[in-house]
Amino acid sequence: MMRIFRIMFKEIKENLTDKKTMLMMVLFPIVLILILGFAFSNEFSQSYPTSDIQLIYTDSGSKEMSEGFQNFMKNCDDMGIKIKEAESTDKGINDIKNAKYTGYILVKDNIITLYKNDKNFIDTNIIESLLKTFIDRFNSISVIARNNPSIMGKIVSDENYDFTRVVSLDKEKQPSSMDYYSVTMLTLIILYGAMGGIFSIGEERTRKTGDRMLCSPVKKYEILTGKLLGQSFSILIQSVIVFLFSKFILGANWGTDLPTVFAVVLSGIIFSVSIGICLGFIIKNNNAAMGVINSIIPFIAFLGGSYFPISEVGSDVLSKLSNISPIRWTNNSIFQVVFAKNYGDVPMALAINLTCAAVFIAISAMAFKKEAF
Amino acid sequence: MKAVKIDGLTKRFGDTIALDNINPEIDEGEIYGLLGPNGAGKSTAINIICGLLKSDRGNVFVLGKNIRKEPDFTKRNIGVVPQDLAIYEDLTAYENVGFFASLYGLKGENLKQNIEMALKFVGLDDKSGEKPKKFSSGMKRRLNIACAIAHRPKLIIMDEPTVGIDPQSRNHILESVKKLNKMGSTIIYTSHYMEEVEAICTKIAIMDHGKIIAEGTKEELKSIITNTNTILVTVGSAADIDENKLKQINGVKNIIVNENVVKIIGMRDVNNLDKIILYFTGNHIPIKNLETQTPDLETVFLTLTGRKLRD
Repeated sequence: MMRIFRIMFKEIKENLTDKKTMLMMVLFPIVLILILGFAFSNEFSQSYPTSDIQLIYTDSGSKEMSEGFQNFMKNCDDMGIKIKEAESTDKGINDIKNAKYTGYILVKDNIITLYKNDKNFIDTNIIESLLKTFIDRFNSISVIARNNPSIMGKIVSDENYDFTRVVSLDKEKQPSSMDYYSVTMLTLIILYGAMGGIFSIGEERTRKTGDRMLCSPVKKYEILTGKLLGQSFSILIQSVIVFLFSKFILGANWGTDLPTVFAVVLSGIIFSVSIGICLGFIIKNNNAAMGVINSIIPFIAFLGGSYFPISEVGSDVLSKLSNISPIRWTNNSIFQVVFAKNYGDVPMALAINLTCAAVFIAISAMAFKKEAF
Repeated sequence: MKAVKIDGLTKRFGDTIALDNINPEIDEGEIYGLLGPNGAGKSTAINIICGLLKSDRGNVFVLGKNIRKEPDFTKRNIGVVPQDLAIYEDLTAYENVGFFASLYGLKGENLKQNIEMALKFVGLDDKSGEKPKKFSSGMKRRLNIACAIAHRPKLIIMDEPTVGIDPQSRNHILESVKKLNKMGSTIIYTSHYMEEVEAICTKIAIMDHGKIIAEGTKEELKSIITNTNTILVTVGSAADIDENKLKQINGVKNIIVNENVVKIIGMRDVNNLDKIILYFTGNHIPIKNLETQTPDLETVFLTLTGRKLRD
């Protein structure tokens, strides 16, 4: 165990003393946040158009529920949200899977189920908020009806209950361009941390220090673990600096649940370092390995929305393709936690990052087992 | 107990036999020289002893333990000075030695003392806070040694430790090797410089094409070639010397030209000095000095293989 820590600390020390790289990994994302944040500030406007939100529904609810739901639909219509009846439950669910609509509301007896498409998390957040308010009100009325039926008349007669007065879009919860690029540039630079993994292995080979390590009693798994931890910690330090700058100097909104955000960030770091280490073992030439990573990163970064939101392109093909980008899940889960307090994508992001990392580490272990560095 | 015992060690790389059934034994306290030209198999043997390579056949025992069955024990007791520098340029000398020593289990005050001992031994104690990128090549070589000895190994393997350094640093390293030996370490020293091996090794093995072709003390090895004598001719310029013509002189077995010194190895019972002198004078090659030399290891190698050590 001590040897793992020794190797880890050696890696951290080497990275921190490499001032040029350290500076680049911190300044690069900060400069990009500033440039892209100012350049695209108008694209992330404060007023949010709801006219693009499309809903389908099936109403098999009780009489009381259906009446309330009709009122709900009228309010949606007033907001510009398009709502129409689904052909069937199965078709409705299928249409959501194929991203044809933002959500499908199934009202059955007194149960409301929302099937949502997370292509645009802000749209789904709006629908959920509206629906929640409707459900809360409906439940309140039901309780009153059981306990004090005499005042029911006054409440039920309020047929024009306006949900929009209850759910006001909190404009502070929408991401500005600075907010958006603070997240995406941070996750982008984490992805570039894979280069550190490549160099960590390649340099041990070039300098022959790897062979010297193997002449000692240290085990190969100790070397692998120490390097993974050391490189990950170094990138975490760089990430914290970028985070602090974006939060306190640029005023970016990182939400209130920083532990969850950093858990996702850390899983992204482990993912990128493990790719780098794996490439470092498989491709013996540093420059060739760098070439591979430099060709992969822009592609998955683009699909992950690092440069601009993929949903804005308006292409279903690209939206579906973006699912293969691990950084898409990382970015989306952070946005959902920060702006919608929605943790739905967090487990998926963690699972994808850590599973991929496990696969790359397993490949590295197999490559390392066969020979020295 | 032998410090190192090797049984039938064989290693192939494709069709090339790098080691061909070698069986050296090294006593504790020896400075054992492995002498041979590039490609003889010296580094392959060393890498197998260190655990960097696996042999195809044979066993290696270090301090009585099989390196395959007890790798932890054997590795703890071996220190390796590799042929290529293996140091971190971005860490200080102290950090370099400390890191490698810690991998052998040293920690705390013990680690600190051993680092200081190692740096002092190689003469870098006043440079401990500096980074190797500012060092001369000789200083880097010394740091290379310090990283290998900090954990006080019983067996030290030095693979051509003086390649490419200035004479002063070389002498310092050779003196250090003798000191380490006096302090109780067994040393395996590989080189293709016979003068180094002759100067410090108590026992020498001459290797060529993966085999040990001769083994013994330097006197035992030189006695192999009792039927030859060596003449050293120092000339003004060796540019016009035709080795083939010289070899045609009766009794001349081999010629080695090193800058302006011509080493002529010939049969002891053939008197050909006059013909040799006539060659030089007849070809207008001025002779500056002429002397006979006692046989050296290069001559032994040349006699045994027909090739030069530094071909």
